[in-house]
Amino acid sequence: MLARLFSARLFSDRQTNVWMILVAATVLTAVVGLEQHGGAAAVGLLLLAIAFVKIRLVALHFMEIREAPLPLRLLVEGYVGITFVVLVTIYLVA
Amino acid sequence: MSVQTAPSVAPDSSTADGKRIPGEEGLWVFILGDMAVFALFFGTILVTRGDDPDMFAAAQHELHPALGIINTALLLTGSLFVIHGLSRLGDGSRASSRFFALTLVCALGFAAIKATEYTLLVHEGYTGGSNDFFMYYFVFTGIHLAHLVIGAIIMTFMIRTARRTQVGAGQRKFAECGAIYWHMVDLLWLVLFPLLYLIR
Repeated sequence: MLARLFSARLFSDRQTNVWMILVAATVLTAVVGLEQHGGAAAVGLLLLAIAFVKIRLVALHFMEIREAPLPLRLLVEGYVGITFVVLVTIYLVA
Repeated sequence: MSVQTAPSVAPDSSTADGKRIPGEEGLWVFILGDMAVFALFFGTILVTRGDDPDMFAAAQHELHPALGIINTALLLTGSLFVIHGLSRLGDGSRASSRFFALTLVCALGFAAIKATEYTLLVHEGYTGGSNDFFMYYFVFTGIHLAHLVIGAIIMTFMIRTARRTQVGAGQRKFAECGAIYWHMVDLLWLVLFPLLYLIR
C-alpha cells in the first residue's frame, strides 16, 4: 500500500523536500542537544535558532502561509520573529 | 513539482493577486491565539531555567529525549501525510483517506510514547509536584497532548470525509482547516521539545 501511495512524483514535490529538511534538522537538534557538555549558551542559542527555522518552514510550506495574503503572512512571520527574539533575550538575560 | 493542496476552494477566500487564506479567517484567529498562549509557555520555561539553572538541568537530565525525538519525527511525518491526503482529496481514489489514516497512526503513536514517558517518570518518582520544572513539563506537554488528541479526533472525521465519492467545497474547507490544525500541533512541539528536553 505504501509503495502505491508514494509514487515517484510524490517524493519529488516541494513539501516532501521541506519534510526531509525538517527531519535532517531534527537529527541535528538531537546530535547537538545530546552531545553537549555543560550548558554553553551557544548550544542553547543554536537549538533555539534551529527550532525557529523549523517552525517557519512548517508555517510557510505546510500551512501554506507563503500563499497567504500579506497581513496574515506578516502576522505569522511576526510571531516567529518576535517569539524568537523574546526567547533569546530571556535565555541570555534571565 | 508541487502538490496542489486545494484545487477547489470557496471563491471568497481568494484575493485579486491570487493570494488566498489557507483554511479560513476564523481558524487563524484561533491558531494565532493558541500560538500566542504557547509563546507564554515557552517564555515561562526559560524564566524557570533562569531562576534555578542547576535544578532545571538536573530535572531535564531525568527526561527521556530519545522518546521526544521519535515523537518529533512522528509529528513531522504525520504532517507530510496530511498534506498528501489533502492533495488527493476527491480524486476518486482511496489514497486521501489512507494518508489521513496514516496521520492518525502517527498521532496515536505520539500519544502512546507520551504515555510511556509519563509512566516512566512517575515510576522513577517524578511528578508535577516534584519541582517547578516537572510541574511545567507535565502541564505544558499535557496541554500539547490534549491538542494532539483533538487533532486525532479531527483526523477521524477527515478520513470519513475523504471516503466520500464526491467532496464538496465545504468538506474540502473542513479538511484544509483540519490539516492546518495538525500542522499547528506539529509546530508547537518543534519549540516545546528542545526547550524542555535539550536547552540548558
